[in-house]
Amino acid sequence: MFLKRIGKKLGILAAILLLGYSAFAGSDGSTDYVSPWRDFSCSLPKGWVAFSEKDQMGYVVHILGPDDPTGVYRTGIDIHWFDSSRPGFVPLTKAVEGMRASDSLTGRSSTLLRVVRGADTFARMFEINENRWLPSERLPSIKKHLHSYVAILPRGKSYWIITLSSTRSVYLDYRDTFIDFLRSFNPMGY
Amino acid sequence: MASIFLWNQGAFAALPMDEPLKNPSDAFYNVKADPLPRSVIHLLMDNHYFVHSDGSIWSPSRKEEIRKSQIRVLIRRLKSTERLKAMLKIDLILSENPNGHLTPDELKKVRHILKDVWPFFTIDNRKHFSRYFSKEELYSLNLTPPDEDSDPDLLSQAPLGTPPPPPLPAGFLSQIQTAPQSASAAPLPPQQTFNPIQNSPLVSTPAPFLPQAQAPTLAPVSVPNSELAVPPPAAAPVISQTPLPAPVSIQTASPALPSAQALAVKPSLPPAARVAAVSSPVLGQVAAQAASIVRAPVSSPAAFPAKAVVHAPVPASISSATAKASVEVLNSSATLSQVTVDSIRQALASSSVIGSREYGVSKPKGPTTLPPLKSYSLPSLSVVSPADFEKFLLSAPYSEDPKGLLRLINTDAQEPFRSRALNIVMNLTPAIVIDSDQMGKEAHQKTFLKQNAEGRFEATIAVNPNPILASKREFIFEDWKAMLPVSSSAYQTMGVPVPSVQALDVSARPDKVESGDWGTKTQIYSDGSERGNYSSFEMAGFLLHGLLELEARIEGWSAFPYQEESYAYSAQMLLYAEIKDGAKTADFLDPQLRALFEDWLNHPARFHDFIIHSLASGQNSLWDLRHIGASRRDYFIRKSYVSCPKSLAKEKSLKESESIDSTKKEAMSLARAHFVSEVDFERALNSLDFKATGIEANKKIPSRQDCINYWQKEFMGSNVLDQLMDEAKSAEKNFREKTGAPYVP
Repeated sequence: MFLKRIGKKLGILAAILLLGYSAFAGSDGSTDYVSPWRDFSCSLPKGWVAFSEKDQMGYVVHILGPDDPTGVYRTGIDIHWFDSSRPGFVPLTKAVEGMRASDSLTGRSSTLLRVVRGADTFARMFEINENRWLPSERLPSIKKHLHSYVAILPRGKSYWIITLSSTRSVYLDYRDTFIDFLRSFNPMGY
Repeated sequence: MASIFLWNQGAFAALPMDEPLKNPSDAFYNVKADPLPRSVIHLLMDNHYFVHSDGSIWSPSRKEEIRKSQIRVLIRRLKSTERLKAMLKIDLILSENPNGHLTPDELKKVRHILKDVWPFFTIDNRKHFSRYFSKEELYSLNLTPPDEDSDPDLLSQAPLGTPPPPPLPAGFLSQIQTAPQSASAAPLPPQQTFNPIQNSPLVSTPAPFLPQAQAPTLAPVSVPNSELAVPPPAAAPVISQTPLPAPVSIQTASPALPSAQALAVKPSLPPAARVAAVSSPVLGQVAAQAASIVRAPVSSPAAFPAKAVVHAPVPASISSATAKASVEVLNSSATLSQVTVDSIRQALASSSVIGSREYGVSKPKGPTTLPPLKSYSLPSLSVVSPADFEKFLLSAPYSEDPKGLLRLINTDAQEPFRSRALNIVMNLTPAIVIDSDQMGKEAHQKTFLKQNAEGRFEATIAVNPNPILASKREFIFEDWKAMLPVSSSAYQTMGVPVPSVQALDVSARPDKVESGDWGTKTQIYSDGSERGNYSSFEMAGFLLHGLLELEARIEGWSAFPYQEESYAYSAQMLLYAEIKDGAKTADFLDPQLRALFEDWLNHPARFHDFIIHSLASGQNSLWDLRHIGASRRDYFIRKSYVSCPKSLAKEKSLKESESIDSTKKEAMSLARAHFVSEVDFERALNSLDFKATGIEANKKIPSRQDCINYWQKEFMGSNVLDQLMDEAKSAEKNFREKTGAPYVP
């Protein structure tokens, strides 16, 4: 029985390994994550789920967290890598300008830039507020305030943009989460 | 996850990082001082080791820095793990094709797996799998020298001048020592003790996984063990001088085999081998070999470095791969061999239907075995020419308004979306209704699909022409703006009364009619509510979205709605981009969709993030977090498939519960925005809870066949998702390259 029990557990573990799951839990309940491109690692907040996909500028890792109380927007962190060698690449200063530009259609506005310390480097950080109709494809759809913490981590000419977005009603709950995440964000390689 | 950590640290790495330092002169390893190949650096990172910019390497816990004496053993273990994982993955793909023909997609997957693991393959591995590559490919792949792990000395010998490997943690030793005893103490059923040779089936199957009908032979696997006899290459395996069944067939656990003749267990075999052999002769052999192998080093380390060769006479390729993979595990973690064999068997059983049949592990209860899940490719697209469609429209049974929308799709939609949508129109001729009352809770389009008695699909697409907008002020603080459903059935579902908004009241007269953000001739009522008008350009996008949704439902791709929605969004936005190009403005879109479109056009990253976060939310319920990532999705479906019909009952129950939660949240949104009173909201919650109780009480276990059909459909959908997403990404990329728009975050 003992052997069977152990075997079953290890079987499940083997299956998970088989699927190439690239995260594992630390002692504090947070989960360490290594990007499939092996260029950074970070600690995922407890219970959040990460997945990645390629995009035109390189790749993006989405980390999904808890749902908004009314279930219209799932809080999450998005990590975009903007590779300077890709066509359509926009230099960092222009990118920051573009991101902070206000928009009358969504009431988009941003806070001033400030510098925060990340795990390995300094990050430029600001916040964005805007209004969106949520959900987009279902009714009733309510005009909601969304909030994003944005951090930009340069790496040569390329850069990462890390955003934690949520509805404005809960954004203060995630301030520390975002700062902790930035501190755990560790560009890798040598 | 903590267990994975243990697994990594204990079993695969087998290198306890928290061990006290044995040799104080042992320096830390530094990749800058002693460079490692890039593939090895990646391997370390993949296994959560941290390679810092100063060149130091840290354990996954980040508490221990790796020393020079540890690095060689560590890398060897990790490489072995990589080989095992790759072989298991390939085995899963191959086991789905008992007839031996891989689909192009599967072949691509196998090649991809092999390319990834090629730097870690030994020369034997490379020979074995070289048939999957052309000579040119092999040349470039083989620029990396093969791994030398086949050298048995590596198992026991650390680099010269390094301290001996640290002892295994006490926990592992106690498990190894106690587990076999408990297993052997349990008496085996009488029918399981019989002569393995008599009962072993003699029919071997042709190689199931090769692109050509060519049965591969398994290269001899070198295993260092002085206790093992060295048999001639063609002989049956000899393990501790105990004959085992040969040859071994993948048919051993076929349904035709009576249970009384269940698999062989040789009483003289070690307990671990017996446990494995009960379920699988193939793994039984491996376990038997392993058990003999591992006993020596645990009890007598001196016997470990001696060499012997064990030939695994496995005729079927799947078995070969599995057996070889299992031997790899044993090589990499000898002390855990007993549990590892069991675990591989169970992992395969839970991951693959064929696997469970092949290896004879616990099969799902039921009268018959499950048919294999069939992989599925996106059918080729037949392009519809604009002239042909125009000709079709002339005689099509549509009124002028739907015809106008279809003409816009015909002229302005981008390929491949255009042809996919128009094929549906030409083949199925769905009814197209432009009516807000039909929309239910959908904002823009809704599809209805049913099969008639002859099995023919009958479809309807409803397109919403009028958005209803209302606002409520919460005292002086907040102005709530909402878009409300017109259909009373939407409110019935939520269990709330229809809000007292004049724009929803058909008998109410508007105060004024004027052009605004929400369309020309927007009706504005005295309470501030509005009944807008979507433009025909905008509705063409809704119809295109609906047609693609319909195609997904008919073809069975709708199992994963996030991807389906993303695909349809790409089509819709590309259509609007084309219309904007002609109109030189995006004012034909309402403010909500215009904001989305502008994001898609100018800030694609922002657009995709928004879509993901909103579709993954509770009200949309379009994204099941269990399914994120192709591998998790695949694993989930396979696991559910083998546990039919319970898995479907569980899935349905979960979906119903999610649907009720989602409806509660919709009602809550209305209540928070003061369109519904607190009392009505409380009543709605009670009625929804009552409904949930009713559903729970009437829950039935679905039939096994329904369950099989359900998961097969999900699997089919899962198969084409990535292809669909690639199609959409490629169309977007072409558009952006054509317009040369910068990619502003």
